[in-house]
Amino acid sequence: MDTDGGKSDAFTLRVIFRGEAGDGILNAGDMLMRSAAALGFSAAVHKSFPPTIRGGACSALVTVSGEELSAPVSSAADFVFLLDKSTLFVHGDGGTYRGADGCANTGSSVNANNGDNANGRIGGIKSFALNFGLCPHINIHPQLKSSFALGVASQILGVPERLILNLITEKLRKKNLTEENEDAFRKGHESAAESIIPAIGASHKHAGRLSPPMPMPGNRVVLDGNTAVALGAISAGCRIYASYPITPATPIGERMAQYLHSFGGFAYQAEDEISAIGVTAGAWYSGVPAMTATSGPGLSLMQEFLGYCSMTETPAVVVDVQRAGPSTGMPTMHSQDDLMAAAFGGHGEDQRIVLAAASIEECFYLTIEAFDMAQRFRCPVILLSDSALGNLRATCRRPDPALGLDGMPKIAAESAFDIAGCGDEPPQPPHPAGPDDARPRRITGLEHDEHCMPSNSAENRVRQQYRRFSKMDKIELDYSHMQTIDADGVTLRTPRSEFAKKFNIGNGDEDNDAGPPADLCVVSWGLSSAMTRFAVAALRKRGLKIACLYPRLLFPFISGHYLKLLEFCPRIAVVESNYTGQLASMIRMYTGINTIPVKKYCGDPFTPEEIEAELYNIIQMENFILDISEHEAGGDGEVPHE
Amino acid sequence: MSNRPHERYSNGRKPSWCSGCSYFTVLSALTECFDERDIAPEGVNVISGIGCSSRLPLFLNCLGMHTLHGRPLPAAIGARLARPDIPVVVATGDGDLLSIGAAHFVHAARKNFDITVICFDNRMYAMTKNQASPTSPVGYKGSLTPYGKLSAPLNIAELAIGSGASMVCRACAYDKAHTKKMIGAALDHRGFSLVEVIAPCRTFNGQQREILERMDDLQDRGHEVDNRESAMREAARVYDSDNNPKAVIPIGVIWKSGGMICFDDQVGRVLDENTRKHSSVDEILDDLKPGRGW
Repeated sequence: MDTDGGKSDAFTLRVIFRGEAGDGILNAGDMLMRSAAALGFSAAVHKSFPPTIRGGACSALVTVSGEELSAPVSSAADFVFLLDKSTLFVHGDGGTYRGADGCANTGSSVNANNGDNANGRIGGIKSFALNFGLCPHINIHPQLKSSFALGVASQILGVPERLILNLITEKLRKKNLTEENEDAFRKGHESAAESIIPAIGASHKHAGRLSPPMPMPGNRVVLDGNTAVALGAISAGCRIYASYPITPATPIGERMAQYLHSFGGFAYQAEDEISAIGVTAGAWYSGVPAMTATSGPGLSLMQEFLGYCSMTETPAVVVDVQRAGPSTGMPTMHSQDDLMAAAFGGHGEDQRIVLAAASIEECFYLTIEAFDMAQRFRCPVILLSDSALGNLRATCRRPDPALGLDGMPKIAAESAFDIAGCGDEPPQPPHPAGPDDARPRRITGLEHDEHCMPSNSAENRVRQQYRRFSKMDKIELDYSHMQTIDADGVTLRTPRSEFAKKFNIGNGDEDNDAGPPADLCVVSWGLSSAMTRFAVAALRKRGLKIACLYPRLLFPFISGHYLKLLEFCPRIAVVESNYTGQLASMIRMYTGINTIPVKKYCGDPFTPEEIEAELYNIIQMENFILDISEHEAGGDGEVPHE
Repeated sequence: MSNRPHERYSNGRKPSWCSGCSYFTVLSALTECFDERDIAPEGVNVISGIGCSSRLPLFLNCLGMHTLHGRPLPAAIGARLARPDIPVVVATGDGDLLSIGAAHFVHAARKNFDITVICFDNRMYAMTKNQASPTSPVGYKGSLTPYGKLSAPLNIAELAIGSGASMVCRACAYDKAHTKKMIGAALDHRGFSLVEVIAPCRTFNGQQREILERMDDLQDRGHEVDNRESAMREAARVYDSDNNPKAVIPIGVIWKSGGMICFDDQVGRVLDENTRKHSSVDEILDDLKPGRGW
């Protein structure tokens, strides 16, 4: 997928730190990533950790590229720093060690004797034992192993010592652990020069890779998914944030608590998630944009209030940083299993909007969209992120609050309230602007009339239910830019349709655009769709024709976008991280199309390599079936039926 | 002040309570209190949950949220944080506040938000047609406990004081003048104030005007409102008459703390301290440029 061309800035370098929670794995990954970023490279760190403070497998995958950032989640690695051998195969690595050049084993279980320089093989790859003997502190503090490993990495890759030492000082000053860690780092640095560099060879493709630095692009920032949500919210005018601690959404609250007060807003810690969404609703009623963030269990608790917001037409923004459920499940692990709960989790029939972010930048822009849509449609908007995306930290283009998604101009704020009422009906919801505002001043979750008076009349019920649902029809017209259709190099099976023109698909020849079908259509959402993009690029390089739909607006379900995929190819694969194929189920429910599921539900996100292999197999298998059926049909002139 | 406070705050809809319900007294005491303080209808937010008492905001032309069962306080807190200039009154019942909404009650009281909570205590669920509530007496025969309630009643005032409420009052809906006095005192208090209004359900339990004779006004006998021990003692006695027909029911201001800072004021302090650390999102993004450390 990533090729090392002759150009030195087209490389991809991947380093994994792996060990037990408490070993400092995540900090080591963060420090290496931040150092690479400071040197002008594109960099990312993908973290995987257990729901414990100490113990359990923990890993940080650092990806560094010279140009556009390569996939931040991957099955491949160049160097693996294994700080505790017991964690090697604990969590699905997806072949994490495939292609690694070296596994620096700093774990005491293998390297019991100080000064043991015996090299061997771990997980099928060449391993180099590190010499802890140089660093007597490590016998006292096993937690210093990560600083030692960081020293080794910086020596191999050519990261200036000063950069990482500064980060160590800054991070550990409060804990009074700076000296020991700096010492461990230096010892690691020396040890690598002595044992690792000679072993891998100074001509190794990644030796000294991060030296010299690259020129720093001016518009770059280091962001993680959760911080991007917080900044998007503040940009969108969010001034009250209410939440209850829950992994992996808590960092959004931490950022809001850090930043929001400067803007005259307040970050409130509620007694539970029901209270958090209640505070959010109360704030919106009072005219102040508000947000809450949670994960699956919290979303379950919020469902009743989400229905209340729909019924009272009170806006609300809820961010669900998904984790693997049900129940407490695997609280730190990646999953995309809340789509159904977000779309259909309420009782009765309510109006809600579900968006899903695929990247850190989308976390920012879609949060802004969520606030806009909540105000326009006066209903709750649920933005889905997930634990891997929320914790993913990377260099990215500096987000610009003045712009919308994909650099599109934002829908003008003036129109924000125009569509709340539908047709000739007056805009209904109360939320009065001031004493002179004649609209009814109270809201109720009871069915009610235009004056917000409770009403049980059949005529009123039909009128109100129809009006509330009708206003949602506008979404299909105004928000097609939320979906990405990527049909590069794919011809249409039919003459060019209005749809194809809208998305610039085909060669522009109005009447004669039809050609052979694509090999496969692919639909994917959330973080999986970001990985699917890399997989599709690789498959295209192999000569396959693939048309893709990456929806960011998942609900209300816009059937047209999915049905139109049939213009490319009747076979549609859906890539998502859950067991039941939730988007695939929705596609069948709304369009009748049976799709081919590509699923992963072990708690780790898809890697592009896995998706590439799965999609390739599907294409081969489908072609095989096509061949057979054509052969049989041609053989005796009859299609066999059972 | 208007001659007809009821009309000033009414939205014209006739309350859906049973005729002769003791709640009418509380509604009219509340609107008279608003009127005496010249609080404009659009200048006060009346928030409720679900139940007979919680219908109250639907009869007013004030700002108001008729929320979910048990959830008026979260919405009230959101409203307080968003608009510190608009006072919030919560109208709730014993089931709404103390059963399904108990967690919110404990924490709103503990945090001492500047909210006035009026709890209409009819000691049962009336809207769903007679079930035992947390405050029902032992042995109460509700439709779901035909064998008689097995547990002791929960004491609202004790729970409020124990949770950290800064003002706790008790009144009886049969005595409108006193009820109005208590609601007024609670409205004037800065911090979390609870008015427990004893208001029997006429439809299911009959008029009980005779309980008025057992009312014992604490302010008539020199009760020290800021003495926590005696406050807890008086709070505890509310249901003594369940077992002893001669026992009195202490009413009046039971507890009022002078020195508790309300949450709302602390929000103001936090905002003052943090103003202009960052003046724009752009400034935050500047701090997030590569090489700027953590």
